[in-house]
Amino acid sequence: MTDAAATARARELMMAALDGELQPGERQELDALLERDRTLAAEWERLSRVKEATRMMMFRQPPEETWDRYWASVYNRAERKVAWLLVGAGAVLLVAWWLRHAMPGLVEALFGASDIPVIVRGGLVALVTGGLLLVVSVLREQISSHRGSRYKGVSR
Amino acid sequence: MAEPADATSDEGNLVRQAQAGDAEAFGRLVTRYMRPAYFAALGLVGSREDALDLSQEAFARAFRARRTLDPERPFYPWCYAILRRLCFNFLRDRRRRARKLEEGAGWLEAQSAAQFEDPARAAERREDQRRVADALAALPDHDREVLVLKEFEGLKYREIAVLVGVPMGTVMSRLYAARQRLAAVLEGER
Repeated sequence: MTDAAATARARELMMAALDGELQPGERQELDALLERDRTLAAEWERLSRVKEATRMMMFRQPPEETWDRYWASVYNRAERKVAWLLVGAGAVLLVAWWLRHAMPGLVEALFGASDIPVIVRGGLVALVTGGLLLVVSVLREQISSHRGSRYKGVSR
Repeated sequence: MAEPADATSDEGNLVRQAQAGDAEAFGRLVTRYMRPAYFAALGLVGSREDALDLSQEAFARAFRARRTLDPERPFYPWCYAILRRLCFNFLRDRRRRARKLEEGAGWLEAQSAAQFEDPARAAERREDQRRVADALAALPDHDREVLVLKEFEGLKYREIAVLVGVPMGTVMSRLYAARQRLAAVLEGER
């Protein structure tokens, strides 16, 4: 094994040793490589200290309510995206319809002549559906957050 | 993260149910993986609020795209791919706005702090916590990702390789680079 290959192998083994992922027989291989090379042995000491520093740390846990409400938040988010898209599409269509009547020349120039009532119907359906979805979604969120609240029995 | 075979087939069933319109089945998958997803995001972006937002957004996107998921394949790596893309985009945008990871290392804490700890020891522990958090924040994103999955999520190299989509050798070399940089930062402060 060349020096470069031995160094690369030693570093791989050092990582595995620090992380408890050495295969049988690799510990002896690592020890032999460290014994042969002082620079690698110093590196091993240094990396062991880093491992010790990170081993002492852990993520700060969020409040338990975060997990209780997690899926509901994900679902509301997914649902509301669709609702907002519909509201947005409805608003765009209605504004386009209004523009066509307020400034017929402009819309005609932009989109060409067409029968508007289909757009109006589409816009209204999208707007009302999106609005309803939002209302339902907000109501459901309020109800489930009230149910899950620890303090629902406490009055101000 | 390694699942026994029956857990994997249970997961496949939940995916099938979700694809057939059962949102609660998808909810059970989210509940199973919300913690690793949140903490993976936290390790990457370093802010609890942003980690919650990004992990929930990843699941919401997965929910909307659930019909594209193969029920025979594991759920979490697919979701994690969405999450890490969101996190890296977020970090790129935040860097553009020149903001740093959450100040004061509020996302990390020292393990097993005794209830009646000596005040001097407690101060030392807080100082260690700040140094490690600062050193982690200074790491390149891809190195930090691998280090966090190993150190704080306790995953095996094989599992990290699947999530990150790189060979195991790359996982080990990123870990090595991350630890070398951490050592340099920690030693530089002494």
